Amino acid sequence: MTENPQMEGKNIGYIVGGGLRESLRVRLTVDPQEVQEGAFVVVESGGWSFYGLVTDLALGATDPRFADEQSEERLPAELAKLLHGQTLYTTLEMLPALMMETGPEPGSPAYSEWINAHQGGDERVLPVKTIPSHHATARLARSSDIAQIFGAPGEEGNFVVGTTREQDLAVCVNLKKMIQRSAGIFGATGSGKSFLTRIVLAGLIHNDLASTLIFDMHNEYGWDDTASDTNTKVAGLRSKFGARVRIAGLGRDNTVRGQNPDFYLEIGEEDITPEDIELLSRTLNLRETTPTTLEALQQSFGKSWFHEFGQMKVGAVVEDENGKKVPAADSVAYWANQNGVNVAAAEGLRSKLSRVFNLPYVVSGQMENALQTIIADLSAGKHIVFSFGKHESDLDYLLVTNILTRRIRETWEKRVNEFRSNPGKVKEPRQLVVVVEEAHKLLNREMASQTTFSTIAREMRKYYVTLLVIDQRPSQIYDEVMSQLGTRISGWLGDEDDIHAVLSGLAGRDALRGMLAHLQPKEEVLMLGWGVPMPILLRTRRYDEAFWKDMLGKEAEKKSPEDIVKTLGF
Amino acid sequence: MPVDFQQIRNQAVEMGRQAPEQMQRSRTLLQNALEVFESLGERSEEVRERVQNAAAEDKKLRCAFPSSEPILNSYPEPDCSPAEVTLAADGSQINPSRHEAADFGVVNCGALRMATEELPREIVQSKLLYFEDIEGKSEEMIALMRDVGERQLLVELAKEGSGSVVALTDGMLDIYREPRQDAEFNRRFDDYLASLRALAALRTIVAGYVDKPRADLLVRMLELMDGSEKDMLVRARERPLGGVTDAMLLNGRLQPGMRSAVFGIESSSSEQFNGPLRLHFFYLNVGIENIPQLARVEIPAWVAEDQDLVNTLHATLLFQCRMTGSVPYPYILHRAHEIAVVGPAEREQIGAMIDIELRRNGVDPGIRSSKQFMKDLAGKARYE
Amino acid sequence: MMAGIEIGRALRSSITGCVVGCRVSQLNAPEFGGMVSIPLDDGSKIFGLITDIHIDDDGLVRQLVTAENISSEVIEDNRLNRNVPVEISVLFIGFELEGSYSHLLPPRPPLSLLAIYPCGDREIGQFTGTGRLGYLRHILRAVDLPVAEILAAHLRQAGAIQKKNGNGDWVEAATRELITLLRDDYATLNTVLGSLADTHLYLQGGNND
Repeated sequence: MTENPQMEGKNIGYIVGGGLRESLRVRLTVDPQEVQEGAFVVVESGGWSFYGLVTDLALGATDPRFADEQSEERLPAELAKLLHGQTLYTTLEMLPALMMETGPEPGSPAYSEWINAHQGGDERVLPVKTIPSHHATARLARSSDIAQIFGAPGEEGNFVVGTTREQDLAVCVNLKKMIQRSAGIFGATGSGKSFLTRIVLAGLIHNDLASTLIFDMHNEYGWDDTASDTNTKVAGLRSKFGARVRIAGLGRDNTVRGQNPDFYLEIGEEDITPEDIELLSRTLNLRETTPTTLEALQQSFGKSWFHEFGQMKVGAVVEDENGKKVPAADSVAYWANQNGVNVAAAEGLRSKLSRVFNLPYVVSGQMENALQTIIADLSAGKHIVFSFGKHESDLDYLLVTNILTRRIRETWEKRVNEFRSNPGKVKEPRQLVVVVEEAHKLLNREMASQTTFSTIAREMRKYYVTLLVIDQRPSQIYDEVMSQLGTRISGWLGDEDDIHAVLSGLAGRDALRGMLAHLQPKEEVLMLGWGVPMPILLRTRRYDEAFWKDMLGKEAEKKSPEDIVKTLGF
Repeated sequence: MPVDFQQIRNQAVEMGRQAPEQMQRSRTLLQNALEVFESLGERSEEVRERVQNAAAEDKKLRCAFPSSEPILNSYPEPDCSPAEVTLAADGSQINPSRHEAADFGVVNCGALRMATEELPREIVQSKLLYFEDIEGKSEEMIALMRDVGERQLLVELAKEGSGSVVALTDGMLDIYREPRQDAEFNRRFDDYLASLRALAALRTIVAGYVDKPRADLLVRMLELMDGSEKDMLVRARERPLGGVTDAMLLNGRLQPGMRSAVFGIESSSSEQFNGPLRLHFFYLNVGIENIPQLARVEIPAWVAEDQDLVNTLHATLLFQCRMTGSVPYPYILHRAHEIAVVGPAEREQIGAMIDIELRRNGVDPGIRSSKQFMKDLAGKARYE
Repeated sequence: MMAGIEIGRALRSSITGCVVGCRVSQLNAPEFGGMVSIPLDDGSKIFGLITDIHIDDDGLVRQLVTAENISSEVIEDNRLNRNVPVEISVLFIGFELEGSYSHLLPPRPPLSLLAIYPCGDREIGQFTGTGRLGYLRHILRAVDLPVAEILAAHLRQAGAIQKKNGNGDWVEAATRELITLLRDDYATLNTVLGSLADTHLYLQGGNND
């Protein structure tokens, strides 16, 4: 696994300064080109190991004249070389994150005593509270260091998301811990977010730690896809996991990539609440009078307000006794007058809502069947990829995801409360992860109070539901929501505000800002936050045949989907 | 302790005050002397006779008399080459000091032999004087031993090889000493004379070089001639030209490289320095244009009477003096001095050496006298 | 252990160095920057580097140069016969006592007239090979000495010997140590590096002459 065996654990320098508030400063004893920003570094001092990330590299000189003068030209090469590391040096800044007692030498009599006193892996690793001494040696991490901090790849719940850049050491994330809170995957467009998402989802599905409801806005995750830049086939979750993954389509006759989904969902008119409409204010350019009008409608018609409103016509007039044009009985104006609602406002609303009324997947009644199927599948441990097919507009996305998620959330809340009251009798609800793309559309400041998603983000982990947001404009996500996100995995970000947003809620992370802007797109990510012991820069796993072979074993390649189904016991 | 500068100063002021008068007086005397000198041009015979007569009456008389060369003559640098071999010897001594722990003396004679196209050769003879050597010996005796040593060294060197040889020593040949009843003293003096004779036998051109001569041999001769013969002895006593030296007399008359006529020395020492050893001298200007520097060169009769020998000596001396550039002095004499000279450092080292040897044989060398100890306390060099 | 012919004798000394007086003939002339040893009476040995070779003129020589010509006999006389007053300044860099080498200054200076010898290859190899080149600080501390040139001469001498003994990286180690000691003194380090560059010790493959 290690590409550069000689790099593993290699000493790179010694501590010369710094502290807890600022970073630690390390004087490099190797060429600066051997260490990059983001390298995982370990310093041992006084019975403790300190773990951290390289956040800066700077050149220095004991006297600026040494730097100015090109000694390579004045002096023989061998002689000029000796100045490097002495009068000319490189200082590295290391952000310390964790520390752990290393204890006495293994094998010494004190060791077994110490090991007994310090049982329990995780408690030994602490957030950094002290600092190493001057001249303590700094070295690159070994695989044992990575395993100590992030978990060993073989152990349960540990999923390899990538490797360290310098030494190709495998880094795991504990998925179980990760999904205990909402998480986020970020990165500018083209930075490889969707591949990373596929990897994480594959991990979740394979390890069977939660059920996932994936709102696949661009039809990327369910079926096989083709990479836009390389034109290679990108495996879909369905083709790899078979019947564990169910594809749901929006609306009848909605094929996804030429394939029929396993079932389709239609939204019932009675499922749409005024709140759902208000959510669409920006999209539909609704006016401030909308809430009033909606409330009046609900008052008038109750559950079927939507249907009734849809039946109304704008501008329908009839002639009355006097030949005057008056609003027809089925007109908006007529109702408005009847109910003390501003006619213009009502008519305006009706016009703007035509789009919604005309949605092919909005049907009369309720969506009960499809919804129950979804809930049942999710409870049973299956995963739903909800494909929008041809309904790719913001309107579709906002409306459908919100309605669906609201119903699911209600169901889960109820079940959890039942479970808590009768723990013996009621089965523990299944952990659910709702995967949302383009999260900023649903979770921006405007909408934050209105969508289910912000509720989930804020509260629902108590109720076994968390989010996994995928987004390229994290700065547009409401910061209260952002601060609720635990694990964040971020690819390259160019915008200062986006970088700031990803790091929000995490104490003193100025040192990491530069790193986010320097990530190699499609190759490197920064993983940090709750659920990750310390920030770490990773080279992501490639989402390719080798990945699937690793995940599923050799058989996955050869077997057909039917065989897989059989293997999985369906 | 240093002098009382205040006392001295007052006296220096007085001296300065008297100086112009003194200067005037000297000038007058010199003028008189020159007049007399210049009047003696053709009168060599007359002068010789008068000097002889004067010496017969006054044994202590010491002055010059003319040789066969006319009194007023001066001779330019001769055409002949310098001698093929030039020798010079000098000596130095450490006097026994009753203050020192183990008493000893040293006579150190050094010589240099220069010959054309040969590496100059140094010779040293060092003699340690101890026990009987120094018992009852005065410093003068040791000085005589030194003088003898120098000439004996020259004799040895002169014996080598053939060709013209010039042998130089610093100072007069006439080593005037108080006559003694001391047999040893006389013996040593005889040794000295013998060495001179040996050099004569070898036809070595022997000369004594007097740098900065203050002699007034010529002037005394002038005093005898400055008036009647009757009163000459009175004049010799009263010294009418007293203060004028020969060098002053001749300064303006000798061009660079020229020598004066040879003169004989009339003195009591002619008893011992007789015959071929009879002492003569001439003055030589070894200086350069406008800066006359006169030396007095003493030679024995056999050299004085041979024109070729005098010329060779003349050429050799000029050759040697030119080597030292701006301060003319025979190079070879300077080197001989360098080779011979011993000083307090040598004294200390030899003293230490003797101490060790005495102790080795179980004898305690004794302690330095307090007086000497205190003198020795003066500063030593510090490593910097 | 006696390495070669005596160069001269100590005239005056202190704890940091001494001045040696000697007679010089062309063949035995000790080299600037060369390592010397002074055996003491107690069996120990002081090591030093030659930092100056000083030939005074004297009265006679000054006179001779004013003459119009100087004959070859006179020149030879002065070179070969007269004691050329050569003084050699030596800077102490350490000592050896009972077989072990120290880079500290010797506990006692040599007394006058102790003989000084040029060091042999074995001594140089052992002295410069033990310890951590601490003796270099004595050279750097000296005032009014051509420190850069002394270091260059010394590194050449010692480097050649170390290379012969199989320690090819001694020169590099010594240079590193010098850079460490001088890294806050730009002016001195610059001069030292310049003179080291002139030694050709750092050519490809590390040729030492």
